[in-house]
This record gives sequence, C-alpha cells and structure tokens, in this order.
Amino acid sequence: MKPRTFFYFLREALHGLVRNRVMTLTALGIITIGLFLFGLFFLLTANLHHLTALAWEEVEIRVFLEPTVTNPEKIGAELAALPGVKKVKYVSKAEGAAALEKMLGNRNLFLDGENPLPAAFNLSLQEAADLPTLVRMAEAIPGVEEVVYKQDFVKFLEIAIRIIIICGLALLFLTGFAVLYIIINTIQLTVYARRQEIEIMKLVGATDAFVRWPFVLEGIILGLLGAGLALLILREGYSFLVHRIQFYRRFFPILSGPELEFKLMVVLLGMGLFFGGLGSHVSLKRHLKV
Amino acid sequence: MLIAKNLTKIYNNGVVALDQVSLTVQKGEFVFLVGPSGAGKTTFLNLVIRQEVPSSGLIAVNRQNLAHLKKKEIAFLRRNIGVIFQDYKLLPQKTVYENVAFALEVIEAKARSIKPRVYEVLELVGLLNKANLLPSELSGGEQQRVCLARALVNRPLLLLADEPTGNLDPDTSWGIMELLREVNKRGTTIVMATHNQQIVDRMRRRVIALDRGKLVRDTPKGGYTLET
Repeated sequence: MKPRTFFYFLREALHGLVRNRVMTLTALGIITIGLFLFGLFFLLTANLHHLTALAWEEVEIRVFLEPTVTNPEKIGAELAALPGVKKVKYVSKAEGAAALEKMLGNRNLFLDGENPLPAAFNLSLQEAADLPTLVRMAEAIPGVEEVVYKQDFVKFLEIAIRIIIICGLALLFLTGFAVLYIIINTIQLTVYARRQEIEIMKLVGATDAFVRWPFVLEGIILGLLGAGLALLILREGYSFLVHRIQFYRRFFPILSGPELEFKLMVVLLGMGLFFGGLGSHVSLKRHLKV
Repeated sequence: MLIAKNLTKIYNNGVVALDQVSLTVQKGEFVFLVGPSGAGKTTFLNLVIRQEVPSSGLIAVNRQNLAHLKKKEIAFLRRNIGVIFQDYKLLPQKTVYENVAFALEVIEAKARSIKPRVYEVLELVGLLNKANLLPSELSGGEQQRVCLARALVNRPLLLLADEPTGNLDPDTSWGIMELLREVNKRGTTIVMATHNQQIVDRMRRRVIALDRGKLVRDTPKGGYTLET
C-alpha cells in the first residue's frame, strides 16, 4: 500500500467518524460498555485465580527420611529437582521436636532425650504441580520413608481450581463473544447509514480493499477509543475499590498493582483493535456485493 | 464497444427482465434505449456495469466477456464506464469538487493530476464557480451536471445514462442533452435509457426499443415511437 493511499484511508476514516457523529458516539458508547463488562469479568477471574494460587501456597508436603540417612543434602537436591517443587526446607530431628513442643506448649516432650521424630523436608509447591506424580517420584528416592500431605484439602482445592478455571474461561469467552456480536451489530449500523457511499465507490471502480480499509480503520479507531474509555473507568473504579477495602485486605487479598493494570490494558486494547477491525470487515461484506 | 448476444436475465422470483436480446454498439455511437417501465432498460445497463450477471447469453464490453470477471476485474471494468443516474447519487456531505475528485481518488489516480482534471470537467459542465458548494445547495440540473462530471472525470470509453433527465424540467433536460452531445462528439460512446419522447425525437440518434425484455426495434436516427 502506498503511504499516500494509507493517509487517504486514515483521513477518510477520521472524516467518516466526525461526519457521522451521532452514529460514532452511539457505537463508541456501546463498545465502551461491552469492553467495560469484559474487563470487569477479566478482573473477577484474575482475582479468583489469585485466590486459588494463594490457597495452593498453603499446601505443604512433608517428606520424612529414614533414620539411617546420613546425607540429607543429596536427597534435598533431588527433591528440589522434582517437577512442580517451588521450595525445599530441611527440618532436622531436633527442629522437628522443637516445632512439635512449641505447638503442644510442652517444653520437655522427650524427657529421656530420645527423639523419635524423623528428619524431614517440607516442600512448597508451584501452582501447576501434578501432586500424585510428585508424591510417587519423591517416594521413589532412596532414603525417603514416607510422604505426607493433607489429601482432603488438596482434593478440594483441585476441584475448586478446576471449577474456577472452567467457569472463568467460559465467562470470558461468552462475554468476549457477546462483545464481538455487539460491536459487529453496532458497526453494521454505521455501515448501513453509509451504504450509498459504498455503492458509489464501487460503481466508480474502487476495489473491495479500497472500500474496506477506511471502514476497518474506523472500526479500529472506535475499538481503541472504546477500550481506552473502558480502561479508564475500570482503573479508577478498581483503585477506588482497592482503596476502600484496604483495611480488610488481610482477609480478602484483592489483586492490584502495575502488572494487573498492564495485563488489563493489553487485553482491552487488543480486543478493541481486533474486534473493531473484524467488526467492520464482517459488516462490510454484504454491502460490497455491488 | 458493446456486444450482447442472446442476452437473457431471469431474476430469482421468475421475472424475465431480458429475453434473448442481441445488439452491437459501435465506438463513438449515441444510442437511446427506450421502452415502458419494466421493459428491461435498467437491467440491461446493470448487466453492462456488471451489477447483475446474465442468466444466459453473452455480454461484452471492449471485447471482454463480463460473465466471468473476477472481483478486481469488475472494478477495472467500471473505471472505463461512466454512469449517470436519475437520482444523481451524489455524496451529500462532500462538496462538488470532492464528489468529482472522489472518482479519481478511489482508483488511486496520481495526486498531481486530480486537481487539474477535476477543474477541467467542472469547466466542461459549467460548474467551476460552484466547486465548493454542497449538493444540497444546487438545483436538480446542477446536481445532474455534477453527476456527469464525476462520470467523465476518469475519461471513460463508454457512458451509461439511466433516465438522466427524469427529474428535470424540459429546459434543464435539454441543457444536459447538449452536454451529452458534446461529450459524444469528443469520442465517448453513450447509451442512454430514457422515457423522454421529446428528447429522443429531437436528437435523431439510434433508438433501441425494448418491451417486456425483448428487443422490438433498432432504428438508426429514429424517433421514440415507430411513427415519430
């Protein structure tokens, strides 16, 4: 495409948006609302995901060693190398006894100095750990006597995570689809209002691509503007919410920070750009058959 | 320039708009297409600019069979055919100049050449002093002249006119016909569909009459009816 042609398209797109102000503002409003809703669900899903990640951090696996083990460092290194292991912490016999005594509030639990507790490793896990496999592999390491973890809690957590992931994805997919549908229909209205212009362009010999580009650019500009507005509303609203519940954050750990804002920005602007362009492209198809 | 052989168009609802029409229009001719409403005049013009596809038979412009054109080839075909319409089809938000320049911009003509060419055709149709007005600020005759300027700006080999005087008073209509005669004199082939008996009788050009989709008369230097 020649640069002159591109600037012609851009000029036409901007003129089109300004000339058809009412349609532009209507479309912009609808796209903003659609993307705002999508952004809202995105934040909700991100927070649910964050909650499950926090819960997963609570899962701890204890790997008890056989009393005869003399080289726990080697076993520690092997455990750390297992897939899904985030951190490995060695708990010696004495440390284990001290922790137990502290927990029970009894300072001299083992009176005769005989400490029956085995040395152990506490493993914390990555979120995506495949627990049964990990446990099997840990048990296979020579020197490991037993692997213990809260099986019921993990089972509950796994089910909860699966439900949250499926529901979150379904929610995002449905909202995304609804937003795309709304955008296509809205842009279709703006295209319909200008069907005579399209017909004339075609009759004087414009190629389909030439007719399409200004409209696609208009769609992209509308999509990006809508995304920008939705982002602004969401950002202000969300930081207001975060600020208001600051005090309760220990009980309800809501996600915040530049990383989340960046993700939201990329997702919304990307959707605005893609859906706006695609919306125009699809809407024009029918009118190009002149 | 233009050849139709056994050209037939049957719409999806079963209406036979054109039935085995065969004709040839030579380069530089001025042809009137006459007949009552529903005779098939507009369908014929739509087939020439490939807005419609024939059901059977052949239609060719400049030795190019229009039945098997690809999308891009249709666009290039239309660059050689100017069209003027009864309802002008001007863009209401563009000025006279922009409406005419638009036809050059959409075919990506050289930027340098657009301005002088637009002014050239606006001078030809007598609208140089109204270049910056909007169509709504013009009379019907002036709007039709803008439409003609837009059709001519691309130097078409063939000009199709579908009832160009249909919405105009007799004096204004005659002004448009004078312009078309001038354009034809400069070498552009013209095919004009019309109901205007006065104009056809006065111009004395070739007349092709259609009735219910059939070609019923083809007279050189004829009148609107056989008697005239």
